[in-house]
Amino acid sequence: MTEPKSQKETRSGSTGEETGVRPVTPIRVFNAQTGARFEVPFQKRVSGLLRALGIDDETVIVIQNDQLLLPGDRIDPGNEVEIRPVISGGSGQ
Amino acid sequence: MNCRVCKKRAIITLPRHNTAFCESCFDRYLLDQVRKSVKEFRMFEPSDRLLLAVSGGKDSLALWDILIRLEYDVLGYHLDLGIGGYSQESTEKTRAFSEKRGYPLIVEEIAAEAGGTLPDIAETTRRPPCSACGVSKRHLFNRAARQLDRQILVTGHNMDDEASRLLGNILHWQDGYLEKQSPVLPADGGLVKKVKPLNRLTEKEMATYAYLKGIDYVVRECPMSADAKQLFYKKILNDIERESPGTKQSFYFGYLDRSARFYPQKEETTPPSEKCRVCGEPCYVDICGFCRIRMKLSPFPESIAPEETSDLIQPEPL
Repeated sequence: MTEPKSQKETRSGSTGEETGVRPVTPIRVFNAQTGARFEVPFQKRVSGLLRALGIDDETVIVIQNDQLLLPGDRIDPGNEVEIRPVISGGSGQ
Repeated sequence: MNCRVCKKRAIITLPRHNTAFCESCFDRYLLDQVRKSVKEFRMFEPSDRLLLAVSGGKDSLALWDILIRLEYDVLGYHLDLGIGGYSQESTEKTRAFSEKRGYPLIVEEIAAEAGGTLPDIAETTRRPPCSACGVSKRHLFNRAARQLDRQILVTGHNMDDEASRLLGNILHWQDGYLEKQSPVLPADGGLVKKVKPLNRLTEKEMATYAYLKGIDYVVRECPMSADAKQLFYKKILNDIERESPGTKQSFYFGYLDRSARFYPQKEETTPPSEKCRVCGEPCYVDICGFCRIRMKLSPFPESIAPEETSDLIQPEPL
């Protein structure tokens, strides 16, 4: 999973202060496997977020506000999204 | 998206079944899948005494919860592998789960049994960590089941585990392993019966169940399995699955349907003909793989002159 650096750019790529355009809220993401927290440019739906991160939907569960989200569900930009990888390897027990 | 059964809000989609479920319909589906495997493969009966290998991960903890809900007699067994903070967290979460729900649990440490932690074993024997882990677990799980008078050893391997293992075994034509790909391995010459009741369920389904049931499991990956081939095979299968949902399941179950043709059941089984000269556990050779590991880690009298001392060595008490 790629974890992009924090970005606070508008859709056009410039900052809100320069243009007077309201900055698009980035999505705060928590990777429960690595413990990493990072931001991703605004995505309306879970499918867009996973695509932006290069993640296959079948390899994670996505949680926000104590609810499991499906790819077609909208993201609440005000709250953190937890991405929890489900794939485990090795010999297993 | 709504549940295909009751039209409530869906919490999971199952592309291979072209469906989606809400929380309660998913719960019913998941229990049905476990019941179906237990029945179809004749895994166990309500009167059987089960030993469940519990790692602290989503699959084994969820399976523990499921088996108790289905009213089976289950004893948990956790092996602390000694992999630093990872094993510490695994043991803590397993204990916490057991205590919170009042489920009986046995914990053993690999260091006490083998004379070293898993990293010690991997380093000393120069085996890949997953291989050393597998040898140790097979030995200690079987021994624990016999000592604790449990007829059946249950593990939380899911469909992704089994399909990726099948792919690896086919790619390398591992006949010996392909023959034993079934989710049920019967008891044989001192080896207890082994079963995998989650073989119809994917990792995503198990993680979803664990989350919905509030199971606090170890999410992070074992630090020693980062390069495990199994992860690579899982990725390949998931790539195929994304393009063609259902392929993983038809690959795995298609193999199970045909395996008798590829590997006909022998009229006479070939149980381990020997008992390990050191520990007395069943094995196919003179000294079992686990005792050979132990000898490399901390030589004990038997390893110095096995020929001379063999008569003096008593099997470990069962």
